[in-house]
Amino acid sequence: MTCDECRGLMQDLIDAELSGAECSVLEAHMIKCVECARMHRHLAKFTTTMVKTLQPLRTSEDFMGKVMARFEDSKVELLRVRESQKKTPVVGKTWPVWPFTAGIGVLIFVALYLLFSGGTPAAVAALTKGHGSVRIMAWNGKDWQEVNGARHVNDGQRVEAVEAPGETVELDCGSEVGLKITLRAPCKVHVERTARQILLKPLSDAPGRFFLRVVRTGRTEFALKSVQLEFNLAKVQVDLAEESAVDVEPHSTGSVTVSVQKGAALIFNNSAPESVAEGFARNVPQSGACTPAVQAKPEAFMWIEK
Amino acid sequence: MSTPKADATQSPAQGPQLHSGEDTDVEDGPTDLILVGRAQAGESAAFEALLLRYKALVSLVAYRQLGHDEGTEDIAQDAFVKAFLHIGELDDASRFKSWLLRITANVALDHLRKKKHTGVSLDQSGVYAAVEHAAAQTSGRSELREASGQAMNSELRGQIAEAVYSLPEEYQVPAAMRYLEGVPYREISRRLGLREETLRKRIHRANQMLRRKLRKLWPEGEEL
Repeated sequence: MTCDECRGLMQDLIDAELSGAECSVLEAHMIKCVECARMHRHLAKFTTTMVKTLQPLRTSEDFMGKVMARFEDSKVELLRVRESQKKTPVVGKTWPVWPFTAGIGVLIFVALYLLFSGGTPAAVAALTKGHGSVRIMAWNGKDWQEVNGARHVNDGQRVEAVEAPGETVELDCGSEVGLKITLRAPCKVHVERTARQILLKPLSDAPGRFFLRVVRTGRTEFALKSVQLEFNLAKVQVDLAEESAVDVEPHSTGSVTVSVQKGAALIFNNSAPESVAEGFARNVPQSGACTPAVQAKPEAFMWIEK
Repeated sequence: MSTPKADATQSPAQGPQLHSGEDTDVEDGPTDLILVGRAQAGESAAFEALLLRYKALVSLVAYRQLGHDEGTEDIAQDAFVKAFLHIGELDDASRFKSWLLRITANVALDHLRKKKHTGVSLDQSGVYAAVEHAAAQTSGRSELREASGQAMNSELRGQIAEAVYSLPEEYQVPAAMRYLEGVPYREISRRLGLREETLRKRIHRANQMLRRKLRKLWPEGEEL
């Protein structure tokens, strides 16, 4: 056996993946070869230390059983809740047909009205500060056009505050959502709302700076789970179920700095999400690893006070 | 057992060659896409296969988020239950792994919020916080030394977990199964639907990359 052959099989020897005969050949070589024996000792030490150190993270023997049992229980519970939400038909009683017919008629009328009037997208937030120099822009099918006198930003519209650099603009998503967004000019941001999320997409020519404040008191829109700021691939998510105050600063280089004053935030790009805890700050690049957390600088939140 | 002799002529230093050679191997077991499709159709065996495939990596991610192993298994359980309950909402089945890891990170974050834990991971809080955490688990000065030892282990575990997590995607799961769970090659290749030879190359390569990443901890034998 050559040294190369021996080293190619060394890991298998340590992982106990070789037959008795193969082990004997390898061991015989290592008795003669000091260098291979040294490498084997090192590799064995590395592997066993790694296995031993990670051992406490092993799941228990019945892990799969526990998960599957909990999954089955949760499924049953989910079905029970869904069933109870369904209307139970009343046996022996005939309901008049006309209210349903009238209802369907009204729905068709509303649908047709919305279709021919262009529809009214849902308001995402009200403009509560900075009306003067802020423009709400809507897509008219060809280009972005200012909506004159608008005091609300709707799903799919943009907020543009570029005329007075340093000025702050406040958007209030209402007490039912519990989210207030402060942005600093110059800033252009595309605003969207899905069933579960409010999305803020700053434009790279004026990415601005954002302060996301979540207040739980009086919250009733529980279907809406989070607010997410997306600067191309760098993303920051704040849960609407917890009180939070998070400063988010997209940079012209593409990275985003996230400083958490209160609560926590999730950050991610093309990799799995990581968290930023209260009092810490991290930087999210467009791809690759986020920077380790450092203590958030108090200055990060001072622009809000100003 | 595999036929390791077939590869015996290759030196471990030929890492990239091992990798490129591996690309020609074809997976012969069910992919995530197939398993998720079956799970979405309600097939219990598919859920179990996904669980076996990812439980080690999920534990590792839970630990990475928490910074200590207390509660890691609960987080892993919660993450799987949540993922399985909502698997029907996953549009792109090939993204199952990243979706599951995102759920795990969210569950861990919720756990941290509930516990009012201020530090998230060891890279944030360091050995000092780990000593504090370990000391909190014990009582009295006589146990401080033990607490300190636990903290060093915890720090080391954090670094190893980070190194495994930072491996390229195709190496993460085999490495987690091998080094966290101690699963034999044959069983890993069965769970992942990979040929044993492909799996063996991946584990060798993963080990090589881990040694490089953790060089500071084991400076001897860098040439391996």
